[in-house]
Amino acid sequence: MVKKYNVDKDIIQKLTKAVKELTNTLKKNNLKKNTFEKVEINQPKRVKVDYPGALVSPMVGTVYLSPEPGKKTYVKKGQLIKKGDTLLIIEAMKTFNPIKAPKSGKIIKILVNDSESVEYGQPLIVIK
Amino acid sequence: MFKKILIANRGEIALRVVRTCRDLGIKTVAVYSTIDSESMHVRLADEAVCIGEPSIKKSYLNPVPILAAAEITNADAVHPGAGFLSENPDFASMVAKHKMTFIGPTSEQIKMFGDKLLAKKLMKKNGLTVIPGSERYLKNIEEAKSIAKKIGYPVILKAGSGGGGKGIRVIKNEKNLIPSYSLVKQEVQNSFGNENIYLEKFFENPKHIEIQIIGDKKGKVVHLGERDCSIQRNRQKIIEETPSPILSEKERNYICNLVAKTIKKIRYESLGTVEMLYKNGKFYFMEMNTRVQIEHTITERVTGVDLVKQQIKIAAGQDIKFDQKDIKNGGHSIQCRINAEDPLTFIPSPGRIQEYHAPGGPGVRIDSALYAGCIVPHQYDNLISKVIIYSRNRNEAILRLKRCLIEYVINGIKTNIPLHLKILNNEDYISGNYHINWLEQFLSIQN
Repeated sequence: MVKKYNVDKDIIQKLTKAVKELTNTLKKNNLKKNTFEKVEINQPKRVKVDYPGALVSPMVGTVYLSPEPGKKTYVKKGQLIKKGDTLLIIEAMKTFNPIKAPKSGKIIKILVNDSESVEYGQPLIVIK
Repeated sequence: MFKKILIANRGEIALRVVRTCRDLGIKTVAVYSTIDSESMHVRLADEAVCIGEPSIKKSYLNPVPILAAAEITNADAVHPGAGFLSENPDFASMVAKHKMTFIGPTSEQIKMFGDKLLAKKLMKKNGLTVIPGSERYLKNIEEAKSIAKKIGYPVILKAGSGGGGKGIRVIKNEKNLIPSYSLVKQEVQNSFGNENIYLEKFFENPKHIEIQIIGDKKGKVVHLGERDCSIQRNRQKIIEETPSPILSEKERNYICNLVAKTIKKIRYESLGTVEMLYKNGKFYFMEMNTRVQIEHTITERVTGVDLVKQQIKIAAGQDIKFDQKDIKNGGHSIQCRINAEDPLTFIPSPGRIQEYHAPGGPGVRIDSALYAGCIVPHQYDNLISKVIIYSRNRNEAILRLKRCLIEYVINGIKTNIPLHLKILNNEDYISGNYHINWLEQFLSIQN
């Protein structure tokens, strides 16, 4: 079903005021368009792997440790896993990509947090 | 006519709308997330307002800052583009409550077509054949069994408020129906928070044929021919063309006129697309899209009608100024969707564009927001460009398309251009003998 939104006039008015102030400040600084922060996405570059044998991210995206918010995580530290088990999900460009265990073993360390952005080649999980 | 339109979208489709607004002399307001501050739709708009962080829920899917942006810039209409909030009836009514015009159909019509069973019921009542199946959401497994028996296996179980391929399962026989029924119900409950599932006849290897229509507030409806969008992967269209290479002139006229008649009966007042499955010479209504489609471009190319312009004019209360007999479809048009992904593994490929050179020459249109140095963020759709080709006939169009794909330079990220070339060189594509599962079957043979 489509999500329901309640129109909250107060919030919109407050926001309108805030954006107006911001626009004025920007005008003062002689900027037409606003840039809150410079976000740089560089070309896929390999992040130095400090964890020998760590599974690295095959893509740039957002990590999810559980199938849905608030649900149990796919794996936890100390758990024994089999080759092919799903360890986490990386969301990139609206696709959800399950990252599977390349080998059987034990989860030694999880190096990323839920909803965190990851780079290409960034270490994710150490399996031994 | 409107004086200023806010475009509640990003990327190539936002740019597409900006361009027509400028053609019409209407001022534009772009909205953008922090990562899109340097993007093309922002650069070419008259004004731009930042609406939040890159995550879609915090920006392009959040109606509050979008409406605030429309208010402070004194926009008198909002164009939703495609995707994001374009088919959200609540957003449409919020825009209206704030005394602005939503460029699209009414909130009630969006809501009606958003419910797949309600939409089927309405279209059936007004003269279209629909895919055989349950007419209401399934109550229990017994009901599922008896309907499946009546329409015959294989059948498909679907979510009533589906999307993203979730809650869909094909069932070959009754033995498989029982476990699948509870599984799909569970999946739908988890994904959409309700248990609404229904059952439909499953067609082996049908074609996806869709009809473009426009209707105005006086009740006039004109169709602009069909599109064949059967080259798909994971239910995402990759290549579209018009006219369809396999429909006869008789079939084409029959279905286009029937759809136009149906749309006239329900008094639909905007741009719309009726999506159908085509199998064994018959057309079955699947769903109706109440927005501008990504592939509207090929219809524009063969008819010479600017569809976004018509959509804006109708929303402003103007009538359609031409009649059905004025629409003369001629020639052939094909569109390739260029996606930022590995052409073999389909791993998404966001990043910064290092070098960019778009193809040109006669009969070529490129709709893209790319430029050298721009960022393709990982938070959004992987569609980065549309190559739209026109030629007198299909053979020439395919040759021209291949020429353009070879000319196209997009360096810094990976794209599916090599996959397009493979498809265009395949005999099944050249003969027009392809269906909605063709590409997946082709790819599995390749591996």
